[in-house]
Amino acid sequence: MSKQVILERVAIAFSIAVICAGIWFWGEQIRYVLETLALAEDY
Amino acid sequence: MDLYPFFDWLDTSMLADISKAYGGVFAVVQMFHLLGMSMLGGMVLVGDLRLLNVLLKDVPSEQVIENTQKWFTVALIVVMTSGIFMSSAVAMKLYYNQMFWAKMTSLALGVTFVYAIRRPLLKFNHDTIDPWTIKLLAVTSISIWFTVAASGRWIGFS
Amino acid sequence: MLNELLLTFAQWLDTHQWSTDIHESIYMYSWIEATHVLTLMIFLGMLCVIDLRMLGAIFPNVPASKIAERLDKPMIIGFVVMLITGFLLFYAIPVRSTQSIWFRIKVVLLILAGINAFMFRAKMQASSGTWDLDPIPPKRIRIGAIASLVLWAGVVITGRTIAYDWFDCHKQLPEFMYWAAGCVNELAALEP
Repeated sequence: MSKQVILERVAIAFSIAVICAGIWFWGEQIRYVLETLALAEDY
Repeated sequence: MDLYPFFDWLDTSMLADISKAYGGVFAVVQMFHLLGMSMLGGMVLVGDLRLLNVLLKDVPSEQVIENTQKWFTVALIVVMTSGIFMSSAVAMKLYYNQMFWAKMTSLALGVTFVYAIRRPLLKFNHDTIDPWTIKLLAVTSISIWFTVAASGRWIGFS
Repeated sequence: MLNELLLTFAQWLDTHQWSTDIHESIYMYSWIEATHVLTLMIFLGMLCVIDLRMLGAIFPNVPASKIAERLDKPMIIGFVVMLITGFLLFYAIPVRSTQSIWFRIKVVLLILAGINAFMFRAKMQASSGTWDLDPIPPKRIRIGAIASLVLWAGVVITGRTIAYDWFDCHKQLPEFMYWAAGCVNELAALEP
């Protein structure tokens, strides 16, 4: 396998992992924000 | 791996003496941090938007990548040096700040991505790389650096 | 006179319910501010690439006019976002911003940067094509690029310092500073 092919595969795996992690991370932040806003509504 | 000793050391280092005592010095360093961030963002966006075929379509993408990489490194050095100084002022607070660690994690991922994956891969002729892989690289790069900057801003709010 | 006028205008904005809403919101103000700061990467980032090209420091083998033309659109998009969010930030805290020496310097620098940009554009158009591929562009172009970088850096710096209260009106300041920052009441108190 050439160096380029290996790098391409690593790039794809890394990218997918990072994008999934990013969606999870920002999803958590948004969830937290919505929860806080919902709490604030109650007051 | 616990980095507590490092933060403990940073908190009492000479850097911290300066950054805590002189609000003005802190402000000036933070300005360089912002200017470095702008430059870093510009280089990332021009490079990645070229890879996504949005900008500078008639300039070979190899050329765009080569030109933006050099200044990306300059910007990264400015941002990191000023960042270390800034963190010395609030080292212990940062150690317990979740957003700070999110930022450091994405920064580490970003640096690994740029120097170990994106740069070596894009040294090859771009025509020989699958176009979807190139687009994926660009999206990943923009996402990582956006997260680094945005979580950094959020440290100030939290 | 101008100071009183500006203060009256700011106080009028301050009476708006929306201004209070943004100011007192849990997240809205922070989000507007974060958008304002992060858009720097688009606006100033593009500007930085264009100006570095005008200094001959990047893309030496791509015509300078091409770089300027192609990056113009994203730069303008970034600028418009910064302008809108910037106005909202001012709208949320009108009185303190009006009486901030930093905000005042920032507005002056913005105007200077705008004038410089127009002059730069005129110079570019007048000489288009004659130096497009020179590794180092003519001196007048380089001076324009440096001026642009310095002025915009100044805008960022003074923008950041608005957050500091070093020279706020409630502090003990020299008379000149009260005047420059537009501290109308404090100035009046100094009158014999």
